[in-house]
Amino acid sequence: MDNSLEVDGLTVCYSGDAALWDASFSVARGSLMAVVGPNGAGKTTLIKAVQNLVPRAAGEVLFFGGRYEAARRSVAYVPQRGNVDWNFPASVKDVVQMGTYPSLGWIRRPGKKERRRTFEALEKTGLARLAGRQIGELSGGQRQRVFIARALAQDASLYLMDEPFQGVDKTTETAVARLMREMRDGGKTVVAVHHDLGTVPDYFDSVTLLNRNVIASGGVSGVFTDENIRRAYSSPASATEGKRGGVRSNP
Amino acid sequence: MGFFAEMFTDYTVSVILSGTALLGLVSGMCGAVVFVRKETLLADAVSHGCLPGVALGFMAAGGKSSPALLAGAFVTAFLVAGFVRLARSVPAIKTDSALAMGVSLSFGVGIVLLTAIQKSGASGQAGLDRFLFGQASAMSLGDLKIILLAGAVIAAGLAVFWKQVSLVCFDGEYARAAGFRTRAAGFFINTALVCVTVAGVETVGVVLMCSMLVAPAVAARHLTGGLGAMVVVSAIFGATGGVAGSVASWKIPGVPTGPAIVICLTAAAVCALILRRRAEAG
Repeated sequence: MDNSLEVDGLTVCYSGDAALWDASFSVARGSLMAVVGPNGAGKTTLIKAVQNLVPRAAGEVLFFGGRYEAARRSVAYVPQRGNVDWNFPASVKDVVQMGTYPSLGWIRRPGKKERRRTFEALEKTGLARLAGRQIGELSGGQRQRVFIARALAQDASLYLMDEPFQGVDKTTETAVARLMREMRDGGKTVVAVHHDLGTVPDYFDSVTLLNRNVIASGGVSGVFTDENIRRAYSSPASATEGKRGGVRSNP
Repeated sequence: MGFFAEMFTDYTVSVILSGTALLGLVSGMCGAVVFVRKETLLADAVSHGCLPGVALGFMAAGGKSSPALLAGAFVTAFLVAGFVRLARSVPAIKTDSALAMGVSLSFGVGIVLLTAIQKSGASGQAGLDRFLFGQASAMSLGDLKIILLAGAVIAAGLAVFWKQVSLVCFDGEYARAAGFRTRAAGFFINTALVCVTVAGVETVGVVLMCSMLVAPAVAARHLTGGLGAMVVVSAIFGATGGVAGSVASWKIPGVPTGPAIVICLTAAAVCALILRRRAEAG
C-alpha cells in the first residue's frame, strides 16, 4: 500500500524540552487521519515539523515516498485560524486565491486557470456567495472555511489541517466533515489535528494518539480503544506539564 | 492665479513641493505594507536609527556632505533594525519592548554624538539639528532624484513580488509552507522601509518620519478593502499630505514643513475614519 506521509522517529525540542519524541506513523493515500491527544501533546508541533516549519532534532519524513521539497506543491497546509490577523485588508476571494500562488512560482500572476480554481474552491466550501466580503466580517466558521478553501485552491494531494473543527458552528462542522469525505473519495489524503474524541469514528478512518510520542496509530476500529485513549490522556507527560489536559468526551 | 503660477515658476518652491509630494507618495506606499505587517513601530525605530548615522557621517566627512550623512543614516538605520530583530529573538523580550529599546537607544546615541559635535566646535555644524525635526527648505534637486530612484525601485519590487509580499504580510507561516522565501520578502520590505526613511529624514526629521509612513496607511485602510488598493490610496494620501503641508508652511509664516505635513496626514486619517464610520452607520 502506498503512503502519502511516512514519519519515522521525528523528534522536536523547544529550548531543551522534547515537544515531540521519536514519533513514527504513516498515513495511507486516500484516507482521513485524526491526530488526537491532550494539550501540549505536540499535535501542532507535529503538523509543523513535517513541513519544516519548526526545526527537527531527529527523524525522517517522507511525502509520497520522497522528500518534502520535491512534494511541496502537493501538500496543502491549513493553519489554525488564530494565526493571522483577520482585519487584514482582503476579501474572501483574495485569501482563497492565495492558494494558487505556490503553483505560480516567483513572478507569474494568477490567470484564468487560477481564477477558476479559486471559484471552484469557493463553491465547494459554500463561500461563493461571500466571495467579495471582507474577511474581517466573517464568523469563525466562515473563516475556517476560507482557510480550507485556500488549501483546496492549491489543488494538493495531501492536506495537513490544524484543528479545522475548533470553535466552528454546527453548519461548518457538518460541511467540513462532508467535504473531507468528498476529498477522500477523490483520492486526497487528510491529516487533521482534532480535539473532539466523540466524533473521531464519524469523521475519520484512522487515528494517531499522541502524547509527546505516538501512543498508537492505525485504523479507528483497531487502535481507538478506551485503553489507548486512557494511556494518551493520562501519561506523565501531560501531568508534569501542568496544562489542562482533559478528555472532553469519551466515546 | 498668482499662487499656482508661483508654485510652478519659483524654482525652490517647485523643488520642495515636488520633493514632498514624491516623498509622501513613496512613504505612503511603503507605509501601507509596513502597517499591515504590524511593524509601524519598526518604522519609528528605523527613523530614530538614522540620527547616530547622520552624526557619524558628519564626523567622518568633516562636514555636511549629503552622501556621507545619508550613507551614515542608512548604515545605522539598518543596524537598529538588526538590533530590534536580535532583541526580539530573545524569548523574554517582547516585540514592543525590543522596539522601544531600539527607538530610545538610537535617539540617545544620536543626541550624544550631536552634542559632542556641538562641543567640538567643528565648522559647518550649524543646521545639523534639522535632522531632528526636519527642514523641507533644505531639499535640493539631488535629494529629489534620490527619492525618485528609491521610489521607483520599491514600486517595481512591490509590483514584481506582489504575491510574496501580500502572502508574507497576511500569513507568513503559510507562505513558508508553500515554499516562498519569506525571509527574502521580509528583508525586501525592511530594506524599502530603511530607504524611504533615510530619503525622508532630512525633510521631516527622525521624530516625525514615522507618521509619514503610518498616517497615510491608516487613512487608506479605512477607505479600501484590498491590499493593492490600500497601497495605491495610501500613496495618494501621502503625496497630497506632502503638498498640503508644504503649501501651509510656505504660506503661513513660522509653520515648519515636517510638522505641517504630519498634521495634514493625521487630519486626513481622522477624516477617513469618520467617513468610514458614517458610511457603516448609514
